[in-house]
Amino acid sequence: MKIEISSEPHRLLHNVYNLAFGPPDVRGKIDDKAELQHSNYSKVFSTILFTGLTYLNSNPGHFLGIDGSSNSRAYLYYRFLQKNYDYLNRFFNLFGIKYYVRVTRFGKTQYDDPFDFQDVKAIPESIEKKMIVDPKFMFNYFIFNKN
Amino acid sequence: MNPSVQEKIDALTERAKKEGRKSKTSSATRNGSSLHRIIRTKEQAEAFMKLLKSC
Repeated sequence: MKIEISSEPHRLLHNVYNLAFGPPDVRGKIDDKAELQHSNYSKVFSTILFTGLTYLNSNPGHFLGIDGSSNSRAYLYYRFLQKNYDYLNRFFNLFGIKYYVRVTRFGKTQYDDPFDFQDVKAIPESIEKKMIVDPKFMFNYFIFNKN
Repeated sequence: MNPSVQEKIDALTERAKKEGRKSKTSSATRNGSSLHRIIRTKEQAEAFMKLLKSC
């Protein structure tokens, strides 16, 4: 498993950095679409977030973003966040963003989900405990910063 | 081989030996996130940050 925090922020969001993770391919590039079998997914995700926390402790003004590279993966991340909400909430402010990213998914998965015409703007939403989000219209991107 | 091509190869090889390979940031972390494709203008970015900080 490789965890990488971008050395450069988003081109226009000057304190938002991307956190990517996944197995490295033969060229060392993270494959964030790989399907992995882990005995404890929650532990894997916690390790990733702990890396994020270490980074944010050194860079308190920064936000870290995790891309839900597919709807199912985004749903998985959301379930982890909810499952560990009380613990995570002690350290992080958690936000989710839904947008019409489905149109940017080219290839086989492009039309897997219906379009959500209400989600035409990238609006961050605070993730609250036990918040119910329809899996079909799951957040596409997660952002967190230090409490 | 054409001598000019050989010269170019030699020059590039020499430069590569001195400078080494440029480190690459993964596109997934640098500018490959979906957020980069969605936030494309300064106005969008400002509105986004304003909303993020007000959450």
